[in-house]
Amino acid sequence: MASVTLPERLDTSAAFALKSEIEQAVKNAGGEQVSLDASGVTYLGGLCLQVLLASRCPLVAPSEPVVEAYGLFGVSAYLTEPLAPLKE
Amino acid sequence: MSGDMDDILLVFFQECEEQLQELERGLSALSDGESGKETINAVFRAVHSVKGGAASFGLENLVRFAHVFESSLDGLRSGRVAPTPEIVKTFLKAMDVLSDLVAEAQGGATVDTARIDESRAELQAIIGEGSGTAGQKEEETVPADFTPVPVDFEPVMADFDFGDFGFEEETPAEAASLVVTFSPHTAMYDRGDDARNLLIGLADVAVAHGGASTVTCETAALPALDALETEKSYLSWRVVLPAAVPEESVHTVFDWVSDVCDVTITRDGGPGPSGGEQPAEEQAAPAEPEQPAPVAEAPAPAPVAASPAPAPSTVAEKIMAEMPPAPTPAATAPIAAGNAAATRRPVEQATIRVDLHRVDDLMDLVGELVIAQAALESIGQREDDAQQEMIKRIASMKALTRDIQDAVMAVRAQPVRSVFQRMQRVVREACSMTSKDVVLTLEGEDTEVDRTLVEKLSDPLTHMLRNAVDHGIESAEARIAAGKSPTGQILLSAGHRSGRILITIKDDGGGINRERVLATAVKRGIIAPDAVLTDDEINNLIFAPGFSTAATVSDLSGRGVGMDVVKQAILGLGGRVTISSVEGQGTTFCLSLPLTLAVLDGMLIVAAGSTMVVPVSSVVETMMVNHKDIYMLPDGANVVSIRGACMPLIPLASELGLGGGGTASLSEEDVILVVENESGARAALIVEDIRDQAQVVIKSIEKNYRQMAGVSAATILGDGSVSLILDVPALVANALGRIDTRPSDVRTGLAA
Repeated sequence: MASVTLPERLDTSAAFALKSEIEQAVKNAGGEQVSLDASGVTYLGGLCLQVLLASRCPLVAPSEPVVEAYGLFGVSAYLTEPLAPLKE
Repeated sequence: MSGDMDDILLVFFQECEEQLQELERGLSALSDGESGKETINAVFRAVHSVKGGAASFGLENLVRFAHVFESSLDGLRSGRVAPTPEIVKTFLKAMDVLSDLVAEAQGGATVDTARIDESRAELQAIIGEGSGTAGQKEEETVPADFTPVPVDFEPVMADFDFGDFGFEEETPAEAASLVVTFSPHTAMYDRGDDARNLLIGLADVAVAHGGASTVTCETAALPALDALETEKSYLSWRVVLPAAVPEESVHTVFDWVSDVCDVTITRDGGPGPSGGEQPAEEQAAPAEPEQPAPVAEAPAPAPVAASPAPAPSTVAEKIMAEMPPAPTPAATAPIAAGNAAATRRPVEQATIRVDLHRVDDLMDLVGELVIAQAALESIGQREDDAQQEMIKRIASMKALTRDIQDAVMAVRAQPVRSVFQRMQRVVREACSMTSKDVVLTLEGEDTEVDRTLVEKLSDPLTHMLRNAVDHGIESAEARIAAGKSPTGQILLSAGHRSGRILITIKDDGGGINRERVLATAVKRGIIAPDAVLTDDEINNLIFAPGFSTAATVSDLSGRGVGMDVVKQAILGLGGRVTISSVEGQGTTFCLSLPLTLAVLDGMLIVAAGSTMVVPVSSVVETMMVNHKDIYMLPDGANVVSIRGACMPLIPLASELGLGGGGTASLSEEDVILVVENESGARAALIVEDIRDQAQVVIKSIEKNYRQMAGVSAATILGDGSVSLILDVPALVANALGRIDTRPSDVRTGLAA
């Protein structure tokens, strides 16, 4: 399973890069599930949260700050279970 | 965008200032033994507001400290901790640190981390003491994982926190929980803010009111990753807050973002957390511990957060720490320039808050003015007896102008409280540096003075109070030996007196040791060794440049510039300093300052053919001279006896060096003005004539020309001529010195 290691600071300025990185990884994985290694993340802001949720990729080993941030944002449920795929 | 941000920050710092004042007031009340619930709540609110605001700007140092402070205050609020003097002292110290942190965030000097740590440790000790079983909170030393008030978990909450909160009575029993839904606009992220700051703010509010917030995130609007625009905001949130939370505190959270975030606040039916929220239970818990997160890891907002966490080199930090507590912004600028914070420092705030009714009054008067102007105009168009009508109208116009002027002054007037309260801290710090115990009592803080004066008073008062603690108050042992209480008393009072504001600083210390002062002055070459001085003159020597009596130069005062600078500053404001000192009982400094720096009521008099202005406030009475009431003293000076009281006679013209043959040429037409200085000393001024009484606009003569003995300022009269405003107290002091039989040469330098 392909994996993307997330950077330490996922603040507003990191959102764009984060999206490109995940998109790249998804493309390279060629249909395979991409997981996000969140073990090193120390900060997670609102915009990056959107990217993470929208990617629908599972988080792996989320760090304490990530768990807290998910709690704060009221999205703890998606820590273990990614957002359901869009019904299009 | 950054301009907007600066504006908002400016408002935040202004509010911080107010909150800190509120805090100071509350803590002072506490230390006076006034531990009512209202007081404690006010103190708590103040710290909480500072923390809340700081969190939305990502000022992490400030948030971190404010949080610990708040938690410790919480112990007080819930009655777990009693406000003993020691604890209040700790809080006061913490308040000083907090206000320094605010200053730091504003781009001021970096606060010494050791000081922060020390204060935090003390606060934590209070938390530990108060919470007993909840001692785990000591973890807060490591801010990254500090778990705030243990209210987030229901069982614990039921145990002790909830019932103790002082807010129940404000909450209707059947109150409904508060539901806040908000969706940030893209612009909010543009501005550097983040939804998480709002959520933190809400969680904070919840905790402050003894509950926890329940957050649900609405993700329906979120598109697939490839369709997602990273800078666009898609998510929205629904937060359920405990019923005790007032709506206003929620508004406060959204204050900063109200224009870039849709918010709705509703009261949900039924008490307690709304049952509809499925993930409520599991989310409530993590929601809270998250709250200190920004503390640990400077939050996202790029433009704002980048700056407030300056990491100055240790050298710079050390310099800052060693600087005097109130360095001018200019002084720290070169050092602060190194970190980004400097770019954010707002310009010295040039706004004042004014009671609305004062502005209304002003508006009314301006309306009247317009009417008066119209009336004058109509007279101009009339033919018949216009002259008389005109005079009448002009008289009413005059009254109006004066009212308007008063109203404008009222708008500019500010109570001296803001400066006075800062002095508590000055004294506190001075005490801890000199290990003395001094209580500062404030009186007349409500006295209003012109705003410019309020600001400029701060430095001189700081100097004088430091001096009072350092040199005035004796050491505790010496005090006990002298039969006094070991705790020193300093009284700082303000009041209006005959059109001036009088500020007195009175200590109950040892008084001025005149022998030592004299000896030092001789040693420093300030006076000749054989000079004979009056007690008063010796007292005034401490204002002489380069004078310092402290045997050793202390950190605090004693650089020998202090009092000299004080005197210059007060003189620069058109004021005067007088000292009275009783050996063994203490020293009193009196600062007398003009109420306004702009306008005064003056009596127009004539001396040596030219018109001059004497401030009406210093004129006691006027009368014609009666030659048989004038007596000559052996040294040639004259005194006049008025109803049995003798006072020196000052022939104004010759006193000012405008010729005139002194008292000898006294003519029958001459008029005597009995004038008084603020300490009540009187003298009789001989003038040729009294012309009129008028309001004059003060123009500084020092600024435009140079300082002149006996003249305080100049003005422009109605006919366009320039006229001098006399410095009556200086003239009186000079004359009182002169009737002394001693040589006057030593005195001339001191009389100013």
